[in-house]
Formats: sequence, structure tokens, C-alpha cells
Amino acid sequence: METASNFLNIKDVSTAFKIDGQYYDAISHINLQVQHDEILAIVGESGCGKSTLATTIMGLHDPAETKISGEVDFEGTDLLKLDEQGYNQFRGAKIGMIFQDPLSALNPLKRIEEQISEVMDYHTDLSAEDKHKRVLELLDQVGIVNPQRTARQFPHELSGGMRQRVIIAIAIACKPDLIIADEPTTALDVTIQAQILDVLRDIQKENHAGIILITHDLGVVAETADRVAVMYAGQIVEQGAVEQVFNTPEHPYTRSLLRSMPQRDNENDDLYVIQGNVPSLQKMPATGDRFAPRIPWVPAEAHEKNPTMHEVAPGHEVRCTCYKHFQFPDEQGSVKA
Amino acid sequence: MSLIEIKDLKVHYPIRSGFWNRITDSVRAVDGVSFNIEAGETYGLVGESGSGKSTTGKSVVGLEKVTSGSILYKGLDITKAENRRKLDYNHDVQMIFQDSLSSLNPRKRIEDIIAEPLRNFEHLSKDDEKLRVLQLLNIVGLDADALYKYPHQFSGGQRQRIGVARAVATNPKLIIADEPVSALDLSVQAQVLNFMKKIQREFGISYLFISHDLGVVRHMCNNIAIMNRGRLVEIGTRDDIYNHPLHIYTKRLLAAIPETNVNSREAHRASRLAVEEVYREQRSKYYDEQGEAYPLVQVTPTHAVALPQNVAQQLARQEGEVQA
Repeated sequence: METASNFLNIKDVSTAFKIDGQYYDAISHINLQVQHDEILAIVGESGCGKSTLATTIMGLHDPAETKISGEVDFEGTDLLKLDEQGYNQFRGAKIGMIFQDPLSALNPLKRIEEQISEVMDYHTDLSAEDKHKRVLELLDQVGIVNPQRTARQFPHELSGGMRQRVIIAIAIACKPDLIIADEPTTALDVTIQAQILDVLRDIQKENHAGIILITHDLGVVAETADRVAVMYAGQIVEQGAVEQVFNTPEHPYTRSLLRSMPQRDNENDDLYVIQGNVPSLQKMPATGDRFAPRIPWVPAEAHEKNPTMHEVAPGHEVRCTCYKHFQFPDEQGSVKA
Repeated sequence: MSLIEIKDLKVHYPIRSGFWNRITDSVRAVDGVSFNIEAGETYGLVGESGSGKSTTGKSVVGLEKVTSGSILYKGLDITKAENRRKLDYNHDVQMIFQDSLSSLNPRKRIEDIIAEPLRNFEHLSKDDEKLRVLQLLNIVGLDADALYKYPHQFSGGQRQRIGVARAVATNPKLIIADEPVSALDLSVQAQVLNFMKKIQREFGISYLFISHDLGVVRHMCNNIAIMNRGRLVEIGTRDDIYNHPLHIYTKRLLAAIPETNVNSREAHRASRLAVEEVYREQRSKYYDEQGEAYPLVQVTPTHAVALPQNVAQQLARQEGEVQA
């Protein structure tokens, strides 16, 4: 999948955290590409490492407590080799980040205008007047009705949806090539969520940016993303175009997740429950399929010793060979759906 | 007769200001809400943040001082403390909270947490109490070794199940579940919802299921009320609400649920934007001059909507034509 338009190339990245003097992988051997003009969704449950991946790309980890290996190739620069100063040339300018909780990401003591123009103070040499113009333009772009007024307000005066729009405005202030959105709508109501996702999509089209959308909500992924990577226990277990992953999911974890969602036609049935729990970092098995203990009815021979990604269709990859043999307990003997 | 009848419930919070700190205005968190919960059913209360759904739930448990209106249980108004005592109401009505970690005492063992309602109401002997706690743990699928652990030693889903076990300890008639699964992952959510349904089947408990997640509500609830800024805008069965919504607010909420069907996402988006358009243009038709919802009018025996009588009838006819 190495094409010229991959401006972000994550190669074999692992991030390990120090717990009681020992390092444990929170994400291991991640390979991902992001292109211009696409939204790549990373989906998984809490603790699967999706936010760790985001903070690794952004270089937000304390080097004393973490060990990072691999390569994050951003337009020809390996971000992981940069020092703090070098990183600051990218953060805010070429990479923007949108956080989950807009209230804690904003400074309560500064007016919205100051907070948005702060990014431009660092990365551009616009005049004060131009900056003011740009702030109003940005607020308008993220769908704020009265930019003049909002620019003068403080974060506490805005609703949750408005705050998240301001955060997006900050993230896109310098027209970054890459926007990382970490659960941007989780704290919002559904109607607001839909609006914010629209804004994100419009911005991606206008700026030709690549967006990494991190979320746990499969519905959000299905509605917004172009490509999806499903993560489980620090690894990518399936990735492909959104139609491939949702219409023909292959990995047992993806299939189980989709099955455990309340759907329109299963009101009177019990929901599907994935057996067992996600292993903790310290107990993560070094080899073997990490999802295997949660589908114990699948024979051990079906799994690989060292699971790798297999291409099942162009651009659609699945980890481990067990997907070929996987059936839910209640459809055993029946033809694979 | 319904298990609980809520009639014209109002909860207003005073706003004080000025030199004398007098009451100058009030926040009308719940403003004239009426609905009935039948025995053994799951009643869904849906709304966005700030709609007053949690305040309604708290009023039903008796944790909120009610401004006016009544909540009838066995014919008596339980907004009065003496009636609550007389009916043993606090024994019959329990609550499951959203945040399982902050609703379990971190310094108590699971045994003591689950036994607390038993100690309040049942006065069992030590052995009987332990037996009952073990039974309860078994119902929610936890092992006996959980007895001597503390809340932080469990995962989020397990903690929420402990919350469920505590709520069913006294064999209540009604459980108020305030966003019981919104902090949980998908697979864990499925587990907790399954347990709630199982317990309902076995013990005939009613739930007042408060949630903002219309997907979960569709799965759990037979009857649903949609709440918007302190008032109910639509009441109906699952079929009424999901297949024949009448109020624009309900339509907006439904249109905004993300669908997992990727093939129809453009169509779904278009229909959402169409609903938003209608909402912007015809807002005045659905709300009165003060921007408040109208009182509910009945359009079918099960379905009521907050609109002027003639508008409601007209919409219902249109909806009927669509069905036919």
C-alpha cells in the first residue's frame, strides 16, 4: 500500500510504559498509513491502545517512563527522532489535535480569540489584524453563528458543542495536513455529535487534510470514516475500507463487537456477550493470538503462533488465520454467514 | 392499575440574586411531567443532557424535593415522607447509578456493600445474610471470592453488576436505572443489559430506564417518553416512537443516531439534514411562543405528542397515510 500520497507512514511502532521498573507494551508493532483527503478511524474498546497511538504520534509521552520503537514517517521526517524543539515545529502547525473533553482542553482564563491566535503566534508571522481576521474566519468555518461575539467570550460561556467547535478551530488554525481527533464527540449529545462530525468532514474536504478519528462508537465510524483500523489489546486486528470492514468483517473480534450492538431487530433477544476480559498490560501474552482466550471454542490449531496480517481483499487485512475457522457458538455447523 | 403514576411533576430550582438574595427566578428542570409505569415493564425516559430526565428519576426515588405534582404508589403520594415510610417505599424502589466507581464506597468490601440494603430493611441473621449476598452475586455472574474484595479490584462492567446486585437485594418492585451503561464498553454493555433483562424476567421488576442512547433504549424499553427541556414531547410504545415519530424533536434525535450500515450512509445523512431543515423552518409550529413544548395530546390509545390538537391530528393522519 505504499503510494506517494501516504504522507503519514507508521512503521512497526511500539510504545511501552514502565510499570514497577518493567516495560510493558501498550501498543505493539503498529503499521498504518494515512493519505490526504481521507478519514482513518481507529476503533476499539477502552484500554486497547488507541489513545496511546495518538499521543505517540504527537510525541506527548514522558521519555523517562516510556520506551518507543519504530518509525513515524511524516512527510519524510521521522517524528520519533525529533527533540522537543523539533517536535514543536510540527505540533499545532502540521499536526493538529482535537481532544475528548473540550472544557479541560481550553484555558478557562483566556478569551476564545486569544486561545485560537496563540497557535498562530507560534507558527506564523501574521500581523495582529490578519490574525483577528483568521480567527473570525475559523470560527465561521466550524459553524459558529456569531464569530464576533464568540471570539470575545470565555470557555465557560459556551455550550459543550460550541467548545468542541472552538477546539477544532484551534486544531485547524494553521491548516495542518494531519488532524488527530481523539473521541471528539463522546462527551456530546447525539444531535451535536452529528453536527461536529459534519464539520470534521467538511474541513477534511476543504483543507485536503488526513484525519485520524479515534473512537469507540462503531456507528460514528460507519458514518464518517473512509478506512478503519480495529484495535484489540494493543494490536491492529483488522483494517480496510469502511465498506469492507462493516459489510464483510472477518476477524472474530470485529464480528463479535458488531454482534454485541443493540440492533433494530433483536429487541427480544439477549445481546451477544464476548466471554472473558481484556488481559491487563502485565499479563499480555508475548506470543499467540491475543483474542484467542475469548473465543475458547475455536481450536488452538486454528491460531497462528505469531499472528501476522493477512490480506483477504485489496486493502483489507486481518490478523491471524483463525478468522477462516471462526463461527459463533450458535451458528456452529451452519454455513458461515 | 399502574405501579407508579406520576402526575404533573414539577421540580424548580430557585435562582437567588440581588441585595437581599431573594428568589428572583427559577430553573424549571422538570416542568409538568406525567406518565405511568406498569408492573414488570421497562419504561424508557430519553432526552439530551439538561433535559431533566435524571431529575425526574431522582424525584421518583425520593432524592429530590418536588416543587409540585404527585407520584402515586399504591394510591398514596410518595412525595410526602410519611407516606414513603408507611408504604416501605424505600424498600421497594432502588436505584442503579451511571458511574459505578463513585457510587460504591471504596472502603467497604463487596459483601458489606451488597448487604447494606439488607441490613437496613431485612434484619437477617449473619448466615442468612451471607447466603443471600452469595445468591445475589450468583445472579449477576460473579464468584464467591468477590465477597472480600474492594470496588477498585473490579473492572467497570463487574462494578456495574455489583451495583445491579445491590439494587435487587431487597426484591424491589421498581429500579431507577440512570444511564446504567453509558460509561461502559460495547461488550460490557451487552453483559449488563442482558443481566438487567434476566433479572426482570425472574423477579418481575419494573425499570425506569433513563438514557440518552436511543439504540439501547430501543433494545430495552416497551414504552418510551421523550423529554425536552423539562417537558415531555412524545410518549408511546417502541413502535410508535421509532416507526411513527410525530414531534420534530423526536425525529431529530432519531435521525442523529449513527447507523452502522455503511451502504446507506449518504441516504441517512441526507434524511438527517432534511429533518434539521424542517426543525429550523418550522420550529414555531412545534413549540409555543415562549419556545416551550405544548401539553401532550393523545393521538392513539398508546401514543401522545406535545402539539396543538389540530396539528397533532393532521400529522397523525399523514403518518397513517404513509403506513397505508
